Amino acid sequence: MAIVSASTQLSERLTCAICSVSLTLDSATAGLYDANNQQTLACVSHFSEPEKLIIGWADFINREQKIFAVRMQERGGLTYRQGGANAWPNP
Amino acid sequence: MHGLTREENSFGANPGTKDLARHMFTRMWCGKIVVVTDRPRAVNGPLRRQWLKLARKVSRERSSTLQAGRLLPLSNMIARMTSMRLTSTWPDDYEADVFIVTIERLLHWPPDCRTLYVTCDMPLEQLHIITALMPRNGLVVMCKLSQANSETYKS
Repeated sequence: MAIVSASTQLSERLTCAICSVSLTLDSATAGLYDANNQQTLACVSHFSEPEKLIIGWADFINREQKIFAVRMQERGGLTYRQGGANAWPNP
Repeated sequence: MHGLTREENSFGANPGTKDLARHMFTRMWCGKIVVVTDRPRAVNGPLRRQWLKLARKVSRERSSTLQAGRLLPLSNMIARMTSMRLTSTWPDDYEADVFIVTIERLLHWPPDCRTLYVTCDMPLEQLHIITALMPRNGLVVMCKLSQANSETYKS
């Protein structure tokens, strides 16, 4: 068993954020939020493989940060730099 | 529990704090986490131990990865995991990230967390009171920890 009740928005996005396979709610678990601030799902089976879980979420974060950076650039011309104390450029 | 996502035990037959730590790993960026248990101090130690074990695994993955794109997320994960604070004090220690508390304490002061783990029996009406302040799309995970798993759940 995994997700037993979810919002309709979540029920429409039944794809694993780690391995991109199609999911059913009973084989899905709630994961991180994506660049659109939407809840993502992941396969329950990833819990049994911590290495794959760690690498999977690291790749997901990397991917979503790139999407977020491109969007920031398009919207306001802001340059999003990953990490560091001064991530935002001086005016 | 309108607008909340509800999960039931996704960890298999005998869930322990190891499984809880792995699930917490997927939710650590989403805001505060509350673990409801009838024995907070008995869960706090094993959960912290499993959490730091997982942090060491992330550290090993970081040291062995050759992909530049993975280095920064993995470094951020390590920093986040090692700086997260687990506490059994509710609600006084509000700056902590993970609260491990009893039902009675939460009934006095419902949490406004994004993730709630229920590891003990809880009547539905109490669950409704406790989740009253949770934001939309918050996650409630029902996962009764196995007490037979003495290595991870020892009083």
